[in-house]
Amino acid sequence: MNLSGDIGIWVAAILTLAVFSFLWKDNPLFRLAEHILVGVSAGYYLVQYAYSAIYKKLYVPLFDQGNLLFIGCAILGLLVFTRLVPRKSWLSRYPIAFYVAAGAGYSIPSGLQTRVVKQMQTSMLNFLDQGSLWTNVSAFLLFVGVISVLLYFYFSAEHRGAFGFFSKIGIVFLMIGFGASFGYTVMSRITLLIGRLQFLMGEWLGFL
Amino acid sequence: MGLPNALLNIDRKFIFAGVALSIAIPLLNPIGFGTSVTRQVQNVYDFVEKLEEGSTVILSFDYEPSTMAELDPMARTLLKHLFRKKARVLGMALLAGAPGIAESILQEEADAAEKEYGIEWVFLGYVPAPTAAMLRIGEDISMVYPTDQYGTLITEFPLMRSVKNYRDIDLVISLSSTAMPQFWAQYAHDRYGAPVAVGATAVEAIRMYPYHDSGQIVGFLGGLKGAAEYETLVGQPGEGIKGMDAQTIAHLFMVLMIVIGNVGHVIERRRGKSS
Repeated sequence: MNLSGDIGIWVAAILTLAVFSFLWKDNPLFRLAEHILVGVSAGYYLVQYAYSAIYKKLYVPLFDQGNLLFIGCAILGLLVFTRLVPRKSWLSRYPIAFYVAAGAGYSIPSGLQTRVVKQMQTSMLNFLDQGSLWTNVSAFLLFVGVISVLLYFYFSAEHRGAFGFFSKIGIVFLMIGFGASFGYTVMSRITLLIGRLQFLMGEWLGFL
Repeated sequence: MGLPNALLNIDRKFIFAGVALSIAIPLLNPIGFGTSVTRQVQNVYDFVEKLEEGSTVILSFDYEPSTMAELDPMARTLLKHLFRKKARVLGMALLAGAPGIAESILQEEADAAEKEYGIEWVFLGYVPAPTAAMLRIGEDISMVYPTDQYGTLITEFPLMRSVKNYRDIDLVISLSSTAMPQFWAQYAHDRYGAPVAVGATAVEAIRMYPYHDSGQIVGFLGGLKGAAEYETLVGQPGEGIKGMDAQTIAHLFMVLMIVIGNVGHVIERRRGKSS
């Protein structure tokens, strides 16, 4: 055992144990750690956003480089704060409209291409692919899965007969998907615990 | 209280203690289960392996401290591999909580590989509005990052003189705990044609399969297992491999708990029917 002499590691270890103490029951130590996390996070993010956005992306171009175009950006940004004045709050719609329009403009067409068209294309091409037996079986399963899950989410007809049969197959695929997702989530959460125990037993207590 | 009740009413504190022990014991006494390499991880490794000397790679740290346990091992192993291949690395961060993580990992791995700042690697720092940043890198990276993390103009770095946009980038790697890799695929790959590889937390990894199958990403590392697989391929055992024994035992313990709970439930239901 080689106990750490670093004060930072001790603080992190004590706060980690304080958070774990919730597993026994709610207690003041846990709440203290929780409040410290919220306070430190709020402070950190405020400074980070103010420095990265307001200083680096507005102050420097406007005042250090003299780019007057940024006056318009500053005015648009400041208009958001008119929401705090009820009689003038309508002015905040302009920056929001600009933001929504710009976001929609660059994300909707490419989003459709990336997340819908390309995925549909892959399902179709894979289905027709003349690869190995396993490739074809896999492509067939993917094809059946996509169609049956889509049918399951078609609600304009009653799920009976052949339609009901295929929508039930869709449920099976959905359940397999949820199971895989759950498995991955468990792995993720266990990893976080491994990370904390590695820190406690290694960096703090020096066992590892 | 009969057997089924006992099985169904195990105090959750014992389960917590069981999970903790199933992780702590393998960490103290490694078993060495090993891990098989999946196609998705192999593809990332093969792509990096084929990079020519002097290739330029964006390594984007798109995660925050809450997921360091999963993504730090990936970041370290990928950097070891990239530096070994003599690739030039542009580190960046698209989440506000990421710069501290990125800075320390980049610095440590660059020091270990004896790489020179500004020539073989650069840390560009954090910018807000990630999707806008991804798009503008397609035009000119200096519009997004006029300076590096420390305020030096990027045009002063020899590395950055030959890098203008995605045309000069041989690979983009996003290490992420969010949906960020999907945006990298959307903008960097689909719009500008840059190859994208992903290191994702296990929760996010399941979303990567369709993008991998469609060829929108070259491959991905999923969770701690992905990190362990990559460490195996690179031949540099690290935190990923060390954690996999604990991961396996913890999973077995959870499976055991689920089986015990179901056995208890089945016995109770049968007794209920017979009575």
